[in-house]
Amino acid sequence: MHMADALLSPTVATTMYVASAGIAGLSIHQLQKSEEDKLPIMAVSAALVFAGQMINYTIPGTGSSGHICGGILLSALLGPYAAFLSMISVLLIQCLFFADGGLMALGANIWNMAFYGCFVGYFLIYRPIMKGRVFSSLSERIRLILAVVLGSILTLQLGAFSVVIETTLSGITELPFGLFAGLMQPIHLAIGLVEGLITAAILLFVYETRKELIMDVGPSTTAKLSLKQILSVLVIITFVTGGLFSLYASAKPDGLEWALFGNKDEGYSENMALDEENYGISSSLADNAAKVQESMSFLPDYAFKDNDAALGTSVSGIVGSSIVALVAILFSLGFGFYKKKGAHKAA
Amino acid sequence: MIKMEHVNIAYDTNEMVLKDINFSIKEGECIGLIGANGAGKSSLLKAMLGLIPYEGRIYVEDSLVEKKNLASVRKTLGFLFQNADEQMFMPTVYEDMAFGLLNMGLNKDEVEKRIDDVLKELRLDYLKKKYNHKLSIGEKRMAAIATILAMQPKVLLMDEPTSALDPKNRRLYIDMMNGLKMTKIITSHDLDMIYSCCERVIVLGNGKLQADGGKEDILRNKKVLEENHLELPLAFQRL
Amino acid sequence: MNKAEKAVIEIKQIDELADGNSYLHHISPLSKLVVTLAYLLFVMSCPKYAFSTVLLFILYPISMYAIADLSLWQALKRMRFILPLIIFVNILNPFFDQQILLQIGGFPLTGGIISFITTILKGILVLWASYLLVATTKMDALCQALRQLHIPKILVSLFLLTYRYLGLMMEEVSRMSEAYYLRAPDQKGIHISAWGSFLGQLLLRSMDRATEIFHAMKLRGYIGEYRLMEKEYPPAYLYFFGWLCMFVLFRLGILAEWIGGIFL
Repeated sequence: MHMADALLSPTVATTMYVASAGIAGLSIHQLQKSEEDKLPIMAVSAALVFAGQMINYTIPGTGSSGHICGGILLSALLGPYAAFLSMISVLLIQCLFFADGGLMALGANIWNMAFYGCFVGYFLIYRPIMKGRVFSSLSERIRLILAVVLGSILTLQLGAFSVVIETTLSGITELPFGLFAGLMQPIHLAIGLVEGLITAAILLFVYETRKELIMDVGPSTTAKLSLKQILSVLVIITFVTGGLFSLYASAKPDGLEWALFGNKDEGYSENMALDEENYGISSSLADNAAKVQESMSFLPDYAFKDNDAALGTSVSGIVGSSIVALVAILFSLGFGFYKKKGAHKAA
Repeated sequence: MIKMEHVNIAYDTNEMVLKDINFSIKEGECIGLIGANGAGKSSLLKAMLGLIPYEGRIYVEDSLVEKKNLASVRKTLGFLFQNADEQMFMPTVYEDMAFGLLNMGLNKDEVEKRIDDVLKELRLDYLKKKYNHKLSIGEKRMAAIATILAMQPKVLLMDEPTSALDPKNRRLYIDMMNGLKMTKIITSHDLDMIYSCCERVIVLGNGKLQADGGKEDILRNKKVLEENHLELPLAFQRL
Repeated sequence: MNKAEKAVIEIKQIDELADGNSYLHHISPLSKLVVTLAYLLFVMSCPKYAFSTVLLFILYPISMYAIADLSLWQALKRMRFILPLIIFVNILNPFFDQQILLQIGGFPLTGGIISFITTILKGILVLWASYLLVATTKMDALCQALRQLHIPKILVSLFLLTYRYLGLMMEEVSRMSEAYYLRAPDQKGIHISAWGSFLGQLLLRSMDRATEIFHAMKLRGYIGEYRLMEKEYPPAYLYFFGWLCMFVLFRLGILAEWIGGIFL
């Protein structure tokens, strides 16, 4: 589910970078207050998650296989702040060494995978369940499984939805928003369930052998701060999604209207998980956002709209660029040949 | 140099690993610390370094091992980990050696010079720019000792230094250790190596100090060794 | 060969490439990082129909790969992770966007086809540029560049440490997988009964390993700050400003038009 550079516009990519950097700043701040000693454990866990993704888990009854859900696994072991930073490390390595994701898409990927897993999944699902605020009658083992599975499902749903929003906002795909979301969400429901189950199995094993390694296990302590934390997470989500939507609204107001209200009878609106209230907030931001967008995209699309040739859709444009590319390829082949010849002579 | 008085070490409060350990080590001595698996050799070294809690008193150069003295104690002692991969946490040998030196507050030129000197002395110049994860086991061990020596410790603590080395590397390693003229404490099951490196041997077993004496007395004493789940060095078994 | 083993090999390949000796290997990592990011941004900013504008950007990877002695084809193999999503998202473009933008020899090119091809081309170009960066820059140099961009120290140290233990961890996973499949030759993946214990075992071992690493760090004077040696690199003004100007020129989109005009 890694987002690609090619699917993002510079504006969206930069916005997601800024949002993820904000969360990273918050995490670093939180971590320095309490537990700077965690550096080695964070690094080793990050390497573990990365290596763990190389393992194929057979899903019973199907021919396919699943992987682990890094964000939730790390949050349960390290706490949300350290886990978030570890996930950044994992995602950076994936994008640098394996071209899984992209350098400019990294901000979006951190948001889609690390933020939802470590913060939303942790504070809204994992922690309340483990602390016994919900399902308190169930045993701790069952609660651990529930917390991890539900957390993973929510994380992947939000992540997949964000991919849809980010791509649509970037104006790359012609897929209608509703159809795109309608394809992505059910697929990721299944993926989330399986990844949640695998992650739960791993954490359950750790629970049975070394309980103390898992966060929020044991008799409920006098933790009363969670409401504030939940609220702050919600505020951040609202802010970023609101920001993204207002960018979208300013870019193609018709499209948003269509996606939000235009096709209710086709049953797409459930996928949107949005109501008019939310839309109201974002459109009030739209004017500002348009300005932001204008200043952030250093080569805004519309600057070329009048110039048909600049769109690159003319025959001479294509011929011209193809010639340049061809010459460059020939030149580089020649260069390589020349170098080899030189090396041969030297030897 | 190092003095232990009534040292007790426990894991998880109830299970005692070592009880009432007393000995002292003079400057320049080379001690072999031997015992079966789980006898508490590594724990004793870690207690000296202040990495795990203990009861009693441990003195390193007359300063008690406790929180406020840790910095100076750790400057005096150089600890070689059993697993070089855990010891060397930086990407390259060079950066690994620089890590401790930069923390000591040396400037860039001094760091550079010390690294070059140590590598030259150990004839390891070729390892300087190598990535740690690409070294062979033998190279890793040698590089690990270079990172410790760069910090110029007065005492070298070595935890199983020759395990998993092939015979040639083991021989090279032993020669290298014998070339280092500082106080050394070496833990191992490799009693032949202990015999060729150490003058004095301390045996740990059943949570206690079982024997302490010259290498000839202890390493040729079949009874003491077998009581502590050890065997005579191979060199003496054929006799 | 299992997945983990392949990944280890891939990392080693990049390490070796980054150890090379070309002009690009020796210039300042910061300028390479900035040029790469600028390149990505410029390519990403091209509109979806701007095929010829995007195609011009191919000059950067082609010329630099020749200088750095890298294979474009080898790099292209890394598309396997990201290509499925790009295709999935764009495969329906030709059906949704049927406005005809061009006629080439009587064959109508619809907007959907052009945007599909353009997006895939963008994907290839950004992949080449990113690969160029990692294949010519050693990890410590890259981290130094990140520090110069004021990325917080803790993140950079974390990244370095992760990188250090990545190979070890994957080798361990690879050994464990081998041991597993030797005893379960018919299985394609880990059976549900071992879902927890397989990675769980490794996880427990890793936690102990982390403690040891922390001890090693403390023994060498670590008190919460990770100090790194910094190296000096020769400045690369020509590379830096030259390419930034070229990118602007490519992006303006007149160049292709002009060259094409000569021939038609």
